[in-house]
Parts: sequence; structure tokens; C-alpha cells
Amino acid sequence: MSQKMCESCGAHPATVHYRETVNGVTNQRYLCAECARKEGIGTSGIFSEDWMKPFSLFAPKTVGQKESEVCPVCQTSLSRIRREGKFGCSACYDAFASRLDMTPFVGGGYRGGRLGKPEAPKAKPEEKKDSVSDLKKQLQEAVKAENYELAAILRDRIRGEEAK
Amino acid sequence: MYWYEKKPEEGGIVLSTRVRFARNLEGIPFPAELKEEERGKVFSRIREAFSEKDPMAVDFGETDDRVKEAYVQTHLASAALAKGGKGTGLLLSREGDVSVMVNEEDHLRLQVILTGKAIRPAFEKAMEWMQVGEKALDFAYRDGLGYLTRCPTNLGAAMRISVMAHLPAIVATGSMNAMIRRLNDAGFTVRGLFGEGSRGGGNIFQISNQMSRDKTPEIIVESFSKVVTQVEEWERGAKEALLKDASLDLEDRVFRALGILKYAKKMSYQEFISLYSDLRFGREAQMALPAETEQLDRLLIDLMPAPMLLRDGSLGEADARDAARAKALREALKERRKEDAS
Repeated sequence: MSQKMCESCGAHPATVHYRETVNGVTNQRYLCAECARKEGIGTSGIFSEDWMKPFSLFAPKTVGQKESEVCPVCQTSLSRIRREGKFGCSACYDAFASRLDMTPFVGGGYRGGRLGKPEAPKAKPEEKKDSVSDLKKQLQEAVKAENYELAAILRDRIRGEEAK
Repeated sequence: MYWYEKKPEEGGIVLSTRVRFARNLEGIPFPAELKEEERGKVFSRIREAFSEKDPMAVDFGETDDRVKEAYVQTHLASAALAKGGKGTGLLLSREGDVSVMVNEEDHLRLQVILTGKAIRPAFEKAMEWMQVGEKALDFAYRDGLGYLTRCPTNLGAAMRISVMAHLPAIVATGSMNAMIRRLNDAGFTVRGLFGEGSRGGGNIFQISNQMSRDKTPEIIVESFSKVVTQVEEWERGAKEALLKDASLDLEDRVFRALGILKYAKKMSYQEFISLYSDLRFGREAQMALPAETEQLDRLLIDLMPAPMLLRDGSLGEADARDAARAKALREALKERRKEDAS
């Protein structure tokens, strides 16, 4: 019986068999360890703390989606966040939260508000604001990913921007 | 004075209370993504922000390993922080009750540790400092997600409360695993502090809340207080059950522990906390122990390896420490006449 070779690079034996079924559609890949790692497939040990559930928080939500985007502030890639389960900076959340399933076991939305309000409103330094069209694009993606919580937040921001 | 230098209230099973908040600065990469120089800038900024509190700043890039290890063993720094170099470090309050870890997993991790059971006071102290930070710094926060942290499981209030509790009777009656399960179901975790995994060396355990994004600080404090009260009640009930059946055996065990601590010539830390636990059980069960036994609480930390080495550089070898430890205990437990007792 001949050894199957990696579908991606064709150079190494396919030691990783990845199968995913989304909405009734099954996708199978045969990859070598290196290519599997690059695609963020088959890695484990992301969550070592004993009180975390043993499944990946960031399982890919759509099949075959290219994940070459990086955070504009810290250059951390989306696939690295998926693999390691950790974010690189606050902007990563803005850039990628709509593409990641943030709901499992971390509870519902936080409604605590900031603890203690500053005396006078602080003058915010050149705040990089997303344009309305960017927000609308993010909203579309959030809805497609069924992340309605984030969609609601984005919708409110769009309304806020358009009201100005 | 640090938390372990004060005497907790008598009869209580809670040795210390800790409240911790994690925060990050908006727009700045988390510590793991920063270069040494940039971490240094973050350290300065945070130090500046808390200047009104006049804390002592400790840059771990310029600190001796022995000192760092001592901070870890006295619970003022985490093992992860100790691995950091320049730009990571601590801000310590003058009173010794607040320690701010800078550039550990998050830019800022503030913790308040108080002696004994002091949930509300620890929470209020932590909030006092957090409000100073909130005014002077721009903490990364998003509606719905709460305060942003490197690890998404810490999102929300990014607050953890814990107590160190002495639970000898729950262990002795074989109820510890059941207690751990009950607490896990209610959203709390239990782990042994001085032993392996869930076995507690010295029967000392840390009970803390599980991180949950939707819980506000008030809710966490309230539910945690209820749980601690319940655990105290379980321990009291278990002690009662034990004493009813075997009070002479238990008394014997307590007073033998006193005997060994008073006269031994060498003592490992493991043996010390085991005997300390027996003695403490006797105090909590209100046995007629001499007054000197009330001075041992701070030794739980003082007699750990790193603090000992810090005080006396000649105690590099375990044997030397074991002898010095036994000597310190003999001194502490020397009989005092009523007039001498302070």
C-alpha cells in the first residue's frame, strides 16, 4: 500500500488526515505535518489550563477560507491567533473578533461598564476610526458568521456614525 | 507589612485573601509582542500613572534571581513574571498590600493580598488603585467583550478573587473531592498550593472564581463571599464530626506535632507545613495550646527556601536550611512567661 503524499506540497508523506463537515458538506485534506501546521489544522495543546474545555475555541467557521490577514497594529496573523488561542493586541480584537467564535464558555456579553469613570472626558489622540463602509463590511461578515452579538455592536456604531 | 507578616483572626480557616485585575493599554501590543525597549516604555508609563500612590518599583531586568524567587514564593510575583527580563517587574505599595505586575501576560496585573478573610476590603482596595489607573491610562476595553486581555478567557471584568484556606477536616473525612466537584459546578476552582495537583501540602488550598466574561465585579464578589462562608461551614462541620469520634487521637496528634516542632534539630519545609497544619487544626478546634503557637503563621512564608536564602546567603544547601528552619522554630516556640508574651 503506497503512502499518500501531501495534497499541498506533494513533497512529504501525508501524516495528517483532516476531515470537516460544515452544513452537510464534508471536506477532507491529506497533509504533511508542516503544511497542516501552516493551515492551523490538527494542532492541540492550545489550552493547557485545567479549567478550560478541551475543544478549540477558534475552529475555522468556513471551509477553505484564506487566512493571510494580519493585525494592522501588531502584525499578528489570524491563523496564529487561531493556533495559539491568544491575541497580540487590542486591535486584533477589532480586526478579527467577527471571524472567531467568541461565545463558548466565556459567558455572554459583558455589561459591567468601565470601573470608575474619569473625572473629565479625556481628549482622545488621533483615533483611527473605521469608515462606515468598513463597519458595514464587518457587519456583513459578522452576520454571515452568525455572530449576532458583534453584529449588534457594529450596527449601533454605524448608526452612531451616520447620525453625525 | 506584607500579608503574611500580620496575624489573622483566631479560629479562622482562611489564611489570606487576594483580588487581582488584569488590564492592557489601548493600541499597544501585548507584552509577548513587545521588544525589551518598548516594554521599558510601558513600565515607565504605568509607573508614572500610579505615582500618586508612591509605590516601590522593581525592574526585574536588574534584580537578582534570588530576590525574584523570593517575590514568587511570597506571592507578590508569579513564576511567569520572574522569567521576564528588562521592562518587566513590580510596583509595590508602601503598605505591602498591593503588588502590580507589569508586562507579565498582560501589561498590568494588579493584586491586593490581605491577611485572613478580607474579601470586601481587598476588593475595595483593588478598586481604589484601579480607579487611579483608569484615570491616568487608557485601558483597552470594548462593549460586550469587557476589558481586553491577551488570553480571551480573561475577558470581561478580568478579575479573579481567591482565598488560601486551611481545610484539614474536609481532607481527613475524605470529602475533598466531593467539595471540589461542588465548587467546580458552581463556577469555582480549587487547587492545592503547596503540594501536587489537587493534594494540598499542609491541607492548604486556593479557592478562586472561574473567569466568566459576563460577570460584573459585584456579582463575583457576592457569589465568592457566599462560597467561602459555605466552605467555612463545611470545614467546621467536618471538624465537629472528627472530634466527636476521635478527640483523644486528634489531640495526641496535635500535641505530638507541637513536640516535634519544639525540639527537632532539622526540619524540611514539607514536614514543617504538615506539622503546622496539625497545630493549626488544634487552634481552630480550640484545643488548649500554648500562646507561642499563635506566632507561627508568618513562618509559613518566612521559612520557605527563597525567603530564607535572601535573609542569610549561607543557606544555599537544603541541609543548611533544614537546620536553620528547625532552629527558628525552636526559638519561636520557646515557652514564654505571661509577662514576656507580646
